[in-house]
Amino acid sequence: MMILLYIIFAVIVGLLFHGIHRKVIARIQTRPGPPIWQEFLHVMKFSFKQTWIPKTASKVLFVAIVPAVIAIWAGALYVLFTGGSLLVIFGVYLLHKITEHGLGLSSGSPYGKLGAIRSVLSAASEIPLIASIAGIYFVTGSLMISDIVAYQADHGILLITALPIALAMYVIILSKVPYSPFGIIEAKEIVSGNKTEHFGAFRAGLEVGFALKTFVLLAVFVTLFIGAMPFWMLLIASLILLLTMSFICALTPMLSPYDAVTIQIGVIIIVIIYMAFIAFAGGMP
Amino acid sequence: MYEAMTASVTASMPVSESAYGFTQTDIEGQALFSLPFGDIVNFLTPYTAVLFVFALTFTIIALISKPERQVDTVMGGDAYYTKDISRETLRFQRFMAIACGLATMGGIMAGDVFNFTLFTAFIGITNIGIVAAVKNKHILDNAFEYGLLAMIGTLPLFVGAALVLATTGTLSMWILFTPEVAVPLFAKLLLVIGVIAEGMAPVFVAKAEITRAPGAPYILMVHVSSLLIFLRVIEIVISM
Amino acid sequence: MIRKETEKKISKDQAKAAALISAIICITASALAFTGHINGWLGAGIVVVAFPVFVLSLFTALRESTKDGDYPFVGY
Repeated sequence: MMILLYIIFAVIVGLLFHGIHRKVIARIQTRPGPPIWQEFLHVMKFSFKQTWIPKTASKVLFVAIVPAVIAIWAGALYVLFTGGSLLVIFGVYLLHKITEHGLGLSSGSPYGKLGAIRSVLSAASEIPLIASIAGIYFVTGSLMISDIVAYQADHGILLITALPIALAMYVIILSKVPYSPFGIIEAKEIVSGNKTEHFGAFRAGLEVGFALKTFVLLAVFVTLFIGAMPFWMLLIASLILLLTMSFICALTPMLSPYDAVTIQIGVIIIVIIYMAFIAFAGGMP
Repeated sequence: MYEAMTASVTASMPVSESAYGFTQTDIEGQALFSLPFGDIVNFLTPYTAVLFVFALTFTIIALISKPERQVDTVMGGDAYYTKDISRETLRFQRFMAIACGLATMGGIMAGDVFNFTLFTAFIGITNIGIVAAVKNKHILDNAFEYGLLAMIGTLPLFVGAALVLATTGTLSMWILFTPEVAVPLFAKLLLVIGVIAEGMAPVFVAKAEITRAPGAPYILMVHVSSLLIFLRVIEIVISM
Repeated sequence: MIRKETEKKISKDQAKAAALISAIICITASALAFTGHINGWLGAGIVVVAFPVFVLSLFTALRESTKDGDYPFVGY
């Protein structure tokens, strides 16, 4: 398949999703909101801006972290569309945490550093959350995405049969969309968190990477818990999933770091109880 | 060489012949590459290959990148200052960061549970080294506490590996990953607890004192190594 | 440690050349993978490495001007 075309398409759709997300949030809050192509304008605006590397930055890391963000999510996109291992996507999610952390640490700015620390702090609850995809292995007996899709064709969709795991994945994706209540790493009280010092061309590159990330995470959720579908339906299902998140983002304030971690740990406890139930009840629910 | 390895292992292990084709590919895909040393087979699957490339990239970045100069505000005023790193500190931290990267790559490549635990312990030691290089009371306190945690964590880590050996008679992941061999849940749990205690980032960063240390790219290697080794232990525990 | 203040800067022409080369690599690799001349995963690996380089060098080539670095933002 033309992997390059898929990546470019995913970037465009991801940027459009970000724009729709902002528009929906604005309409819920009775604001007019930006046009839905606002994120394209953002990328273009940032790429035409003056760009330099801060004098205090660790230069190689400061630059290299931006292509790293794009590369890992482009790789995840390939794994998703070829029906590869879900464990790789889980790995990419954690690599994304490392890049978030490196993004903040590399500049020498105290705001970036605070964002980076919050990123690792939230890793304490996000890693167990995403490790709950191990629960999918106990339910379906496989972690290959193609096998999971085949399992759902036979046994019904996992969104119903494995609801607590879907809930955990939903919280994971919710904590990664822009303006999320769990988005403590880029909260406004620390300016822009770990993105503070990456401006100009670097920020434009980051926006491209984050657009890929949003597209991949939404598509992974739809493929994992609803199953195989034609490509246009995948896009519509991803959009509906995103709209549910837009409502949550519009109606909740940004949580404080400890509240965010506590809520995520609460979801982890639900997943653990569910998995213990599977283990002791013997076999599938 | 591969046939010889298979023969020598089948002589000592009551496992069917077909198990050595690494047929169980429903977790992380088909193995891309394998390098047998006796019954220990070092291998790369698509999953570990991704992790390996990532660890290699960050090790190279730590090798060639100059450290950041952390900006700190002066409390109670609007002045700020930047922290410079002395050449000796830089050399030691860079050495420890690269050793940490090599240990991470070793842990990712390891095809043997004991090698894996050994590399994890190396990561713990080098992480202490990276943090303890900075001459600041708070950071040194933190390094000391982390040293205690890593020392305690070594016990469940190696007990886990010992339990795997005691219950199954082998430490080779090539054999343990086959469905014929069952590893007790308790041994897996001990391995995970050991890695969590050795890997600094997820649990111990709540004590954010280490971020007083000028961070990138050396402090970053602490988090790179502990998250990557956590990813690896998840793979091992699910596959076993 | 005092750093030298003269840092090498990437000129717009160099960035344009890098963008062009990485774009050619991306297109060639994905086309070869599509026609089956190289393995799919190899083509994907090349694209995954070359595409971020393309994006970043393109944006660097588009940027307004080159200027010396400044100290980070530390508050209003």
